[in-house]
Amino acid sequence: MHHSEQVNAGHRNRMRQKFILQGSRPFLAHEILEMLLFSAVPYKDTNPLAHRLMDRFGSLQSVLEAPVNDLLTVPGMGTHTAVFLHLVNETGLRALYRPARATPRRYGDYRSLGEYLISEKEAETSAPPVRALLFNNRYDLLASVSMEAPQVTAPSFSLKELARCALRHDATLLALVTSHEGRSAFPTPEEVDITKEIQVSLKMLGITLLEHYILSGSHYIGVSRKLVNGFEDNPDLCTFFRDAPDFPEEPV
Amino acid sequence: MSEPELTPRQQRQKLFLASPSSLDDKELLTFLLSYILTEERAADTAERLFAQFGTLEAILCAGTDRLRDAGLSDAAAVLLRLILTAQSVSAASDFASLPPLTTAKETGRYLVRLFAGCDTEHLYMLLLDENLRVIDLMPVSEGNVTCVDMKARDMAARAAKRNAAYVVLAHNHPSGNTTPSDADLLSTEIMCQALSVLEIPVLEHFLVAGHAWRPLLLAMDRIPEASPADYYPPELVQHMKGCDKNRMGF
Repeated sequence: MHHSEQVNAGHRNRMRQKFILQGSRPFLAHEILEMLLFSAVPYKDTNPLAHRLMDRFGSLQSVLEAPVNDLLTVPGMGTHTAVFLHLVNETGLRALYRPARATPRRYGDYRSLGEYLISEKEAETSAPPVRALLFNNRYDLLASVSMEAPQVTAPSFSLKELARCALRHDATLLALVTSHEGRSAFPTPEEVDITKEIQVSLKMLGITLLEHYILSGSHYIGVSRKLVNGFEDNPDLCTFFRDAPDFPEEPV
Repeated sequence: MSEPELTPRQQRQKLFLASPSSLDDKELLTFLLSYILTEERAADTAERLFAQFGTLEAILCAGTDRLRDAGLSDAAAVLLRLILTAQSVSAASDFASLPPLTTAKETGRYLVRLFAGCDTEHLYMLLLDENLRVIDLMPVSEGNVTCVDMKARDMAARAAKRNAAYVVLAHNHPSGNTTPSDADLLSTEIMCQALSVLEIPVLEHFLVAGHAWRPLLLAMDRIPEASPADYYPPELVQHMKGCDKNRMGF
């Protein structure tokens, strides 16, 4: 590798790490273009080409929308790179404006998440008694974490661990799952109280407790259904509970 | 002389240049990845990403951390994340060269691009001149998860200084949910009232969720009297009337 190539490799790596850590905010439009060009132009410094493109077309949008033949008139542009820019734009617009068949979210509401938990439980032999499912705000399941406690009411249940875990995974939505094997799925008063506590504490950290599910056999009951008051202001919860049944009467 | 045989990559390029729609989503992604991976690895990776994330949109929205967890190199993860970033950054930086946003539909379409791939809630204020050309774009706030806070005074000051004829508000729900919260409706109310003192009508407050958007003022039956003719195409008005108030999106 020539010295200049090494310098460029270091520069590319630094820009990528900055993007991974900070997102697009610290970057100007021409820097986004410079970074895109890394993929089409190996080794060379892509900054001058990014500037030439911006100067010629006036804006990032015009560069992305430019026909391949127009792009080719810019010094330093070959077909390989011109097609690449066209491809970047086409792929972006396709994902934005032609949403492929709406895929139903497996976990996006009370019933489907509850039913998913039951089906998962039936497939598994040894599920931990208490665990947390962590989601981002698109309801993608980020992780399923065992909470190392026999019950949420047990002294070994650690709210701190739960919160740390959620933040480490960048989760914004969370569901707790407790197993009541051998007894009713109906929550105990202590479970209701602690669920409320967890809900309030997580909310302060910007994490929404979607539901605390209690599973028993092939039944599930969500504790939060009993607590929700004022969730109308949280659109995530509104949608989550849209078709949920009312909290059941206490079994005699 | 016989034509040299094309590699799969060259074939994709030929098809793409003839008509981008001739490549399906997976082929398009493979073509993109083949810029930094070998042909075979690009095809494998695209296959794996579709199996894990389901759709092109989900892959491009996934974020660098999740893409790296899925086994992608930093270079590949950054490239995929840049696809929607390029759309949103260009929408935010090139507003001055936009054609006038003369209808709610054109505005909605622009806003979908502005919020492309955004995974936190943002509130923007667009200032328009009397021809509905965007003269300024103010990022008002970035919320953590569910809330964006309005800064009524700052917003009104900016609108006054730029001599805006109209204001458009826009915020996104990364969850994909087009139901406004009570806070969304309240903040709309506060801004409409604050700007009414300056006699600057809030033309619309758009809620954008992925590719869907929803005009809140129209949904609330609160279209300002001063709104320009034809801003709302009749089919949009009809569509909003026929919708369940809590579930509509457009």
